[in-house]
Amino acid sequence: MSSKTVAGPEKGDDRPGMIDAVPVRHPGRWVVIAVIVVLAAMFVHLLLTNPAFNWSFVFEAMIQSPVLRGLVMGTLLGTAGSMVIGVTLGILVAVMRLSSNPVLSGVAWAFTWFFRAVPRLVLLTIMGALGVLFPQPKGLAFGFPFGTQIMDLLGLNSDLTLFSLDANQIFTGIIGGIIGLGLSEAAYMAEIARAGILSVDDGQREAACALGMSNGRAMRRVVLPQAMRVIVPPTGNETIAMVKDTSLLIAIPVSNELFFQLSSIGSRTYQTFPVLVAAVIWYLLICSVLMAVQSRLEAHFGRGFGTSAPRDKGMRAKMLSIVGGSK
Amino acid sequence: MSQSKTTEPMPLVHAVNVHKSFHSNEVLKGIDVDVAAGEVVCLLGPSGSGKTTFLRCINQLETIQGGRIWVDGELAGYEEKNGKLHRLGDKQIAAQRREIGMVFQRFNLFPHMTALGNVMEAPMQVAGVARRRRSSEGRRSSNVSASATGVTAIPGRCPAASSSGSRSPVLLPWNQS
Repeated sequence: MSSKTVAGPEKGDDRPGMIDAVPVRHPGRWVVIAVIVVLAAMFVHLLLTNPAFNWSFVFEAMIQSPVLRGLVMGTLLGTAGSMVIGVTLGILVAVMRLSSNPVLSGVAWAFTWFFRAVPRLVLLTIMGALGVLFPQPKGLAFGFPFGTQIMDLLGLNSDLTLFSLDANQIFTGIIGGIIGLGLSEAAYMAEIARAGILSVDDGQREAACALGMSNGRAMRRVVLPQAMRVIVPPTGNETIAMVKDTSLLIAIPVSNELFFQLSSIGSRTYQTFPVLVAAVIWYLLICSVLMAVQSRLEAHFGRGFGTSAPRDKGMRAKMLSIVGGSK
Repeated sequence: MSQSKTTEPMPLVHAVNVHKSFHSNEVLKGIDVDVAAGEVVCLLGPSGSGKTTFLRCINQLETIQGGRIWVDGELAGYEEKNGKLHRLGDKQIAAQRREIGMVFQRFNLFPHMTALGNVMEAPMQVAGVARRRRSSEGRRSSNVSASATGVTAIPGRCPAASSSGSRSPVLLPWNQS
């Protein structure tokens, strides 16, 4: 456009205007898309036409009342209970581990060492067998430490027991499962929480102390809320992993649980494959809900770090530009 | 430091023979400083000479190995009983720090709170403004102190969203109340 230089009255006329360029072509991208579309079509075809899926039975099995009871009383309750124990105990262990008191940090280290090393399946099997340690006449007794031995020494006929519980009933039900999974989870959460606490700049604690806060209050008001930004994403991961690990509850044995109920329907009706698909769908549904909750929590605890709000918009813009990038 | 020999009561900050070392590295070698009420004092020196360390010692963010520091007539960090020094507990040291304001070199604002939250944190949490009155009284007094010190950041915003020049005033109000 160099030839026609019209000497207009305004001097801005021949300066470059808005850019309307042809975008870079990505032929490789289209090849990949084509391959993926074909593979996806084959997969959907398999899902819809293969008689082994028996879809009507899948959905029928999903809403059987023992399955729903197992879902709520075993899988969901087990996940919630063990995560509550895991997170609270984990944060406590992490704070202990970072304590300057060598006894506290040593105990925290030993706890983490033990429960991280024992597989959950083994741990739950042990939990179910713990009743052996506390046989029935006395049961699981609560009272003065070494009460029996002390009273024996004094020659008195009492054991200073306040009350006792039937150990077999406690450890073999869902409560034993929640305790077992919760202890195991606390060991992992302790490491996650420790990383979170260490990620907060020490100046924050000092600033809180300079305002006149005690160490405990500085931890609760200033350090932990910021550590949550680092703690929440892996905790979401752990929760999702816990949903799946509740299928190990059968080791206790707790049979009132999603996967065991579905597979027992399968072995009763000889429809073994559809019930597995039903279990997969339930686990997918639960985990999807949990992931949505997790991203909300991340946005909440990430405030003040400028990573929460704009991401959504950017993601949407990116998706739009793949579909129709011209405008 | 101008030492005026008068029989007035102890100066507001009274430091005598302060020694502080990090492991084998001795940073403060017998510092004597007196600051009277209302006096403005500048500590000057090359970087690494211990200016900040000395300020942190006054606030007991560092423990000193020798000497004594009195703030407003109160011995910082210790209690003297029968000629023996007893280290103060966490709570008592926190109470002493409440009377001392400090602006950190890198501000150390709380990034998870808004600018107003940063200003309100100390009066709300440590000075015991009753929880019932927190939204009205605390907010009002922080707004007063915020405007008195010229907080230019928008009160509802988090510190990361404010420019660095407008960050330091957020720290100041508590010093005056």
